Amino acid sequence: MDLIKKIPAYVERIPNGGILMTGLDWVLNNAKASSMWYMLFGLACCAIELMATGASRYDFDRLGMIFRATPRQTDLMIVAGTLTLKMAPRVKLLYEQMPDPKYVIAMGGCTMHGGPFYHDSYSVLKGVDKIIPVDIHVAGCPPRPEALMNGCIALQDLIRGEKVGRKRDRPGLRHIDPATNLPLLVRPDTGLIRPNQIIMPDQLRVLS
Amino acid sequence: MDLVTAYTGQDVALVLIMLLMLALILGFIAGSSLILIWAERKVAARIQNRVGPMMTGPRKFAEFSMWTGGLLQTAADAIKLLVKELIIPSKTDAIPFIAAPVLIVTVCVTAYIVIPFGPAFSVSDLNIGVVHVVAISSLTVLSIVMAGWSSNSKYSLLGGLRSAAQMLSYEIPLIFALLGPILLAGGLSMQKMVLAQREYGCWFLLPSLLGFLIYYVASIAEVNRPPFDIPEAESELVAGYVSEYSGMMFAMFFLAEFANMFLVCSVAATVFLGGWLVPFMPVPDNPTPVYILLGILTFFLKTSFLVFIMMWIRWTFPRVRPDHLMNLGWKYLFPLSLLNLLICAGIAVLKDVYKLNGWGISLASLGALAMVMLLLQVVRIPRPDTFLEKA
Amino acid sequence: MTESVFFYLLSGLVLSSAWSVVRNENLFHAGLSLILCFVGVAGIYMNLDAPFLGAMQVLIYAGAIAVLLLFGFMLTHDLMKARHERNQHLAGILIPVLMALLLVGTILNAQWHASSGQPVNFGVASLARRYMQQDLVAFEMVALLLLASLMGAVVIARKEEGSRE
Repeated sequence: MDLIKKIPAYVERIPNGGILMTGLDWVLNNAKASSMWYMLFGLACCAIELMATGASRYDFDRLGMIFRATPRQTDLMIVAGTLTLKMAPRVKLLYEQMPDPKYVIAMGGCTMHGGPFYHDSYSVLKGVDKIIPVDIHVAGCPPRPEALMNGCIALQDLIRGEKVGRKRDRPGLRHIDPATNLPLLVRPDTGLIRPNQIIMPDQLRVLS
Repeated sequence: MDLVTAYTGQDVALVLIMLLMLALILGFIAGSSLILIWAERKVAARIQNRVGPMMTGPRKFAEFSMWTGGLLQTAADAIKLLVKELIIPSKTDAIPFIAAPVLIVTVCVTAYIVIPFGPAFSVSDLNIGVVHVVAISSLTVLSIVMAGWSSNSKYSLLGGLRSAAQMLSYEIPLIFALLGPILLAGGLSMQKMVLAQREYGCWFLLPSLLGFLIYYVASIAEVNRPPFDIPEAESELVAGYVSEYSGMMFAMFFLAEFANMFLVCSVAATVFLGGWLVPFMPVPDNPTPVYILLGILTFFLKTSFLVFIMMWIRWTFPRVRPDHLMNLGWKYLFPLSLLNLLICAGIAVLKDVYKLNGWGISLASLGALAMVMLLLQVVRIPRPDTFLEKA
Repeated sequence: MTESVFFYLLSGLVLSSAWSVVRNENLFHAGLSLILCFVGVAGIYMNLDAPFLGAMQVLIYAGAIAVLLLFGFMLTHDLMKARHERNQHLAGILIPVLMALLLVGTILNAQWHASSGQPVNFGVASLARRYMQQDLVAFEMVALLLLASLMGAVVIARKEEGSRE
């Protein structure tokens, strides 16, 4: 079994042998990236922007994205809106019902760290990456359709960088600063998250 | 091989060629579905003032016009569905669950074998052609019932139930609408149907215009497309009977839906629109290669036109309610299809007794149609909105 | 030769699926086996040079009646329990045995003529002529019977609607 797992690595090491795997990678990744079917569900006001993105002015279909109502046929979960504690188990269930490979975009401030409900809400989950792994965060309250679309393009780039047979690098669950009990979501360059900003997972840094 | 020869009445030597043709049909179904799904998305986009798939496929086409972009979209979808995880939920009835998508594709391919794509260009011209298509297609509902039941989910079950009821009740107007042309042609073979239209000098669209409309409406219901897509209505039943299917099994249902759409449209084109008969062109008794090519082109043009209208209808009309659907099928389409049969019988008699040519038959059928319209004015059947108030 | 090979294959299919209809604990699976049985019978018809009959068998029995049966199963409450509550083993054995005796007796007593001539082309046209000319009265009688049952169904449905109001 160990040998089988190593085969892609060996093939790539042979001169020109990499063509085989990279060719396969290219086809599969492009196929996955250009048909991300997203799940039809919205939680709060971000869902309105999600609908606007699917409608004619912005048009998700340009990227090959169509909605499916059942989690069994979706590749992408766009968590659009405030995730309450009561809703959280359902969202986790929906995520678990999706077939692999599956991706998650957390849309809006609420899904990143609770947003406007961060300080004094007993019922809002402060960040959806506490329950499911998130690939792309789209900041904004709510983000404009352009921002969401940009997030989807960022996710496509992420998918295009995958390797067949390799485990995907997933950002882990949320790191919480033990001292302040704050989620640590800070861009490395500015230290701030601006609205409508796309944040790639590798840009998240844990501050201590 | 005797079964095949007995079934077809052809030589054993032809069986190999037929198997080859069958492989061609499989390739054709896959290829045509690729194009049809892309076309459907582009048509939908045009109707909704969007652009549709743009980023997939050769950029040259997208540069040429935005309506030609995204040509490889369906290929990308297919490859993605191929590599996706196949989920068989633990509480499903596994054997019917797996058999259902296989059955629906098998049924579809089997029904394709009698479609005359051109002069002397069908896998096998059975002498029971039309009945073969109808009989084999009636097994589609079985696959849907199996999918609905074995998924062990409320939505799937309700979708399966609704679909079974819908398809059983719409099969009857569909068959009765086809009976008119069968009566005119005096046979069931698909090629004979086309040749009979040559003999009559006019498409069967005219003598059985009513039948064509009924067939078209009923076939939309038969392939479960909007506005008759209540078995898979997103807003109430998630995805109906395909709710629990993922990956390739879902792709097979998806493929079968589009292949079935092409199938019903090609039957309509053959039976009502003259099939491969090229308009305004005398038909040679022994078709020349040029005529064969033109015929195949004509057949595909006619079928594509009907498919386009189906897409147009899909993205234009809202979904109907289940009881309205049943009312339409049983109270309007079924009696009207009987009336259509009567008109067709009359015209067949006219043709036999008075030896009318194409113009005469067209005139007579238009006259019959005018009389039907007059009759409907006099009888005043209740309009559909009267049972809206009742409900 | 191949004809008989197909015959035995199809007979095997029909018999095994029929056994499954009777013995299967799962009613839905029994229904599916019934459809398989019907399709096998249609195959036998086609093997015997009667494609129209075969197509009709598929259309009416497999496509419509058996699906209606499954439809009924789906609407039945507690479907899986219904099977075990019955206790009609005696009748269940007696009736098939009597049927089998009757059939075997008929088969043994019948005179089987082996014709040396070519089989006639048994098409739809000859069937239609038979129905519309020779056996017209019987055909109309069957139509009348169907009409009566249809009207009966309408009467039953009407009554229920009236009682609800």
